[in-house]
Amino acid sequence: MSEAEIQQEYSILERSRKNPTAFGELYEKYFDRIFNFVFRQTDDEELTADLCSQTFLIALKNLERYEFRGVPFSAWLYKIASNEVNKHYRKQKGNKVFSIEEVRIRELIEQGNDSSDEESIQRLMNYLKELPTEMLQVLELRFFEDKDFKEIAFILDITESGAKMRTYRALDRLRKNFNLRIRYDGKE
Amino acid sequence: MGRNEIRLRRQKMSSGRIAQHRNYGQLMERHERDVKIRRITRTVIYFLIVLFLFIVFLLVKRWENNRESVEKTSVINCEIRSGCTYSGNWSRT
Repeated sequence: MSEAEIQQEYSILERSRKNPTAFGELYEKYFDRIFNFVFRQTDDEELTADLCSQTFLIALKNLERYEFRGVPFSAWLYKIASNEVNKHYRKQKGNKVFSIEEVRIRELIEQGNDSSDEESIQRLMNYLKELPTEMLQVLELRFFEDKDFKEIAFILDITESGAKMRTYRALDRLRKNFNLRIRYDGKE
Repeated sequence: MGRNEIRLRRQKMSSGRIAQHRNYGQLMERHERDVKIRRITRTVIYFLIVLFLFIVFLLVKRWENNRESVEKTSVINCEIRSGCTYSGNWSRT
């Protein structure tokens, strides 16, 4: 995100503090991304719609408290959404769901020399299943949401080096098991 | 047993389908309702604080009045029984 875009968003936020209707612009801009992010962690359309609406409501309520910390405004929305999803699972006391698009999995596998047959997809799914939630969250933000480490650290409330370490560990195992050519920074 | 449940989705959610859940008007309504509730709650809390302080003030006032009347009564009793007068300190006449 360029400096000009961040500046433009900040001016929308300033206007939204005085007049909440102005927040609509940011709502329209980020709704789809937040929806997909939450849907990937719930796999339930109605629940996602509820959590998404709750996310924007909390953002609107706390606009006064928002302060720029070197990451785009969207990172703040992701952070709220992530907290709402965690809160939901804490209440439910169930296993966390990660619903991944088959297309993205195939893209990942095809980055290596393996063909993306059903067997390798299944192996990757089993591997992901065994990963701790914290690692999955980092991988999701890094490879499905294309977030940089600074944003990931902000969203998950961890240090930047912690985010890098988690990604590195998860990717190391992924490379060994699947012969993938994903680089540490997420690019092939 | 896995720690997380991983599901494979055949298709990505279409933006048209996501758009069905997008409703800024409804969000604004909820926000305004929340703001109203927060304002009412704050007013009620302020009112309760003022009421509490007022009751404390009344209780202190009443306690002071009671103390004064007890003191007056004891002065009168003392004067009647032993002829004491109070003019800054007790002295027998």
